[in-house]
Amino acid sequence: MHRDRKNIIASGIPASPGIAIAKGFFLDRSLPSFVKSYVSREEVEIEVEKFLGAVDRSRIQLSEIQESLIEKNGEHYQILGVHISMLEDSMLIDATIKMIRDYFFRAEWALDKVLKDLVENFHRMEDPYLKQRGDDIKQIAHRIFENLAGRRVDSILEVGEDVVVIAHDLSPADTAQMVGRSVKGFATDMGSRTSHTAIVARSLRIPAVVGLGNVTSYFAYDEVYIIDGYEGIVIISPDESLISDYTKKLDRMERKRKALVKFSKLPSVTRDGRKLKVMANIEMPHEAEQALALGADGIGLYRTEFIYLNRRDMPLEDEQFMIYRGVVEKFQKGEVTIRTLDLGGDKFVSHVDLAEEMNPAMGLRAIRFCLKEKEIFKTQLRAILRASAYGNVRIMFPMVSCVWEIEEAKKVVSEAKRELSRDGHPFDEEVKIGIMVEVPSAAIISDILAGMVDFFSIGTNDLIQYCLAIDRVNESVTYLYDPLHPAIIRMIRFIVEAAHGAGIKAAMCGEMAGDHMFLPVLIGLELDELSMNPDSIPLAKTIIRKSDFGYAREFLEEIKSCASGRDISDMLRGKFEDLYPEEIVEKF
Amino acid sequence: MSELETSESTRVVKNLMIKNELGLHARAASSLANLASKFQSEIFIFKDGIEVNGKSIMGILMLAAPKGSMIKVSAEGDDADEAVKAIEDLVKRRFYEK
Repeated sequence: MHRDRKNIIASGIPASPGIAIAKGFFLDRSLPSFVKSYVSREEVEIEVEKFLGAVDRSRIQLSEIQESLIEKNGEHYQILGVHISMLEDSMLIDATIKMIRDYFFRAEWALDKVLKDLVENFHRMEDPYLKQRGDDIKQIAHRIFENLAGRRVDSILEVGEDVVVIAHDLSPADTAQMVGRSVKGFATDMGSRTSHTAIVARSLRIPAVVGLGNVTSYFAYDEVYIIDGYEGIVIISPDESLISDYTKKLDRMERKRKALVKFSKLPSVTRDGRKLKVMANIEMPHEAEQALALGADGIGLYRTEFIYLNRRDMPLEDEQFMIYRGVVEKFQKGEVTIRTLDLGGDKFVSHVDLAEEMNPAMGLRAIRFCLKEKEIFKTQLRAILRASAYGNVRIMFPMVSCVWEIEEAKKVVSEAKRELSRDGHPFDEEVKIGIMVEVPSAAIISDILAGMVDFFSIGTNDLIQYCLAIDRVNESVTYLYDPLHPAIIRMIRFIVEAAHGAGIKAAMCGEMAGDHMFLPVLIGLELDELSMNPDSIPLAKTIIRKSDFGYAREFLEEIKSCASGRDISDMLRGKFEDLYPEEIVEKF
Repeated sequence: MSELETSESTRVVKNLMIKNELGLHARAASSLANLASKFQSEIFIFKDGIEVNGKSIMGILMLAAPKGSMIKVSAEGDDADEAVKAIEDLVKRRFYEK
């Protein structure tokens, strides 16, 4: 870790496009481990003073962070207040001092022992909310340890200047904290293109590279990082000429984007007149405006998990209603497809008792969780229905795998409607109900399911992962993740035919829809709507306008006999290269 | 709802019902511990046979007291009376939750 190093290049997985150039900020979430060590009788009081000094510094730091928050008395402000109370707690402080005095333990080791007991106590509690408070204590202790060692302490809340965040991994709660902060990009050791972290990065329009393996081990303070989210590389400590190259590249990209945006309001119709709606995937209300500005024909997927993350209680109906209504009112131009709660899997929730699961992705999540926790589900449905009075809303259930789930979910919708009528709340009686088709069983019986709903939306991330049996967060099998795998193409074709056979629309809202390379295939597959992150919309519309529906359908016939995704992508390149701007051709 | 008993050693005891929606969760526990810390008296809180230091947020959290549960507050010292009154007020005002 010497200070005169230059241009160290680490390569990983491009998770979110864009370029960021800023100082690195290391988010260290690991707790140090200590060996048993003692002080002499003479040193005891010095050790106590050392410990109290570290506690004082920690308190001052937390208060400063708290006061620097723009929103006084918001969620973060209160969490920090709780942390300050914990930092002053005799169960932590007096207990540690007693250990130092009674047993001559070194401060670090004394604190380590006290901390382990406390965390153990909390983790043993039945209430999942209280269980998690053990993590707060860990975070506070981490700060005291860092101060004992004379190191700086980090939290995204502390970021003042423009930075790129470097971390081993980021939890959804970490990424949620980045909203509206001066985080310009991030790079993580873990993760893959389709892990939750990457999806959130794209929704926040923050350039990100994940799956770097060991980028954190190279970290040193005060060094500049370049994060290239197009190529999936991170340059540590770049020299002047590299910085200038990338700054130019950044400007060029920005100009290109502006040029595309200029035409993004034009309709997305192929040259031979097939209309394909291009919609936006959004995660937070502010993205509805961006989607509109970038020419979205509607919201094809509004993920609602953020409302539930990073908080200490359950969002009430009124609060949810106000959020949904805000989005619906902003987006009068087209349909707003609100997906019901998709928690579980690799996401986390702080106030619902989710048992530890061996394989959470296939566990109690999404519609399964909602049908078990009916009150939570109904509260959300009432809020969505109330918002439907203000615009054009569609409701979408995630992870449906059988007929029974649709029947049950529709029963809860009817109940919610009855209650709203009784309470005198207006709502759209004809609100459309659809499902995400993302479980292979649903794809295979999509001809049966099509008669039960108003629309399908194909969730390619999960469909590909379950169909090809690969864990999307396991880097060692990422190479098998292939949207052009003939099995996937056949499945999509079957789902679209089933939808059209029943006279309903077939949409796609997974990552595949937003990858411009696949557009000719998706046009040929006769999808009616493609929903993607807002930034991808202008280029997608431009490519659609240059495409020819008839030609794309012929192409689909030709690839029927292809044995592998590799063959299909070779043919794709051969046939459609002239459609694409050069930066996409390079990626083929 | 409550009984007031004073003994010679100025020990004041009071039973209170937790009425706020979220019970003694982190923020409520934090404001209770902060309030208790303002007094000289020793303050203890009891629930279901568990006794914790009323000035310790972690102790209060460990009581796991949801909405509707009963707690007993006991203060001993020169300002025991004011301490218990202040705590009672905070609990009754539902910890100023919205």
